[in-house]
Amino acid sequence: MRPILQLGEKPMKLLRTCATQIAGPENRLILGISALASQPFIDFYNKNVDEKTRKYSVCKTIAKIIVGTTVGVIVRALAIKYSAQLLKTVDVSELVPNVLRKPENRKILQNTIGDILGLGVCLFSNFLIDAPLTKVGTNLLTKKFIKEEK
Amino acid sequence: MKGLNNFCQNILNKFCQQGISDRANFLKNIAVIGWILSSLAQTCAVIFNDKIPSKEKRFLVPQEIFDGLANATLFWFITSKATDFGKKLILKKIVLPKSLVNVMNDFTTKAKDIPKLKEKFLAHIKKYGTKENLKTAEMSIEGMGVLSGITGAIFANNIITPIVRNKLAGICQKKEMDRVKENAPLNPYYGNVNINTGFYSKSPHPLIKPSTFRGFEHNISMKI
Repeated sequence: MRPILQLGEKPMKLLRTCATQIAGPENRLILGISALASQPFIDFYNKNVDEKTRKYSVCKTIAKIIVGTTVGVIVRALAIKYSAQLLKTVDVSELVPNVLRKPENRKILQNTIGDILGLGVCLFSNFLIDAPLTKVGTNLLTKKFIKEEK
Repeated sequence: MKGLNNFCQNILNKFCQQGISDRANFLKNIAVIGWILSSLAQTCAVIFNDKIPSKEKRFLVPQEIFDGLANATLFWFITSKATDFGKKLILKKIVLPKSLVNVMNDFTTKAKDIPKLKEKFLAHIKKYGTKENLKTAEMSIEGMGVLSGITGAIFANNIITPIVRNKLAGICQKKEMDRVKENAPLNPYYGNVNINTGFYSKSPHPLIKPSTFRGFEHNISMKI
């Protein structure tokens, strides 16, 4: 018989958190932080382009990740907060009738509706907030780090 | 109008159902849509940034486009595989919560795809275990799916995608620069094309691009 790796209380707590607590904002934050830790270095050591292009690329990547993550997390978190209010006032039992009967799924339902709302808001915020702020951030970084080469 | 309303309602309904019953895949799907939107916006941000020289734009614009394409496809593919891998760890009894080890001792199945495997796995617990066991099993399958999905997403999004997009964008930039080089000089009156700016080195006006003059030298009357 194949041996089974048994999960104790601590790993189970982590899995429970993953299953119920991780929604759009947490997902975006995890991906954003890991992106900031890896992508600028990959761009900096990109041998396919010359040094100046590489520097522009690094500045753009850093600005994009910082702005994208900050705006993304805020928008998604606000959407989830709003969805909690929405669930108190609007009857969504028609939308997901069988699931609403389980009270333990209330938090997951709130996160789900928040994530969908957040995605809708991101449709606008990406163009109206992310893009202009990334442009400003990229210009600030290039001004600071590519000054002597201009 | 009613049809459109029903269509929207159906999509929202499906999303909600998936968000509750299949959290890992739901997170993956909304992340992919998010990446596509974000990439579109960022491409616009680079195109309309007049402070970035045109030579760098020739790399940065395709870099953004390939970032979106590579992100959407690689992210979706790798995260899907990682999510399935995580769920199978539990469903195939490689990893199990301590409380389920005894209940699942006799469980065997030949099912290979995840929905069937999950159905049989949960049916076995319903038959031989308690309600608490069932809840733990559901939680551990979903939790493991989300955890491995996030690990896959980090790998796809932050390591594979940047390498692929940089390679593809580098090829695009090189092709574009070669094209500019091949076409230079386009006009003897305005000198060679400056590779860095894409403009004629002797152009009377900095905004006059080489394309403005393409074919100019073949115009005999103008030469005379």
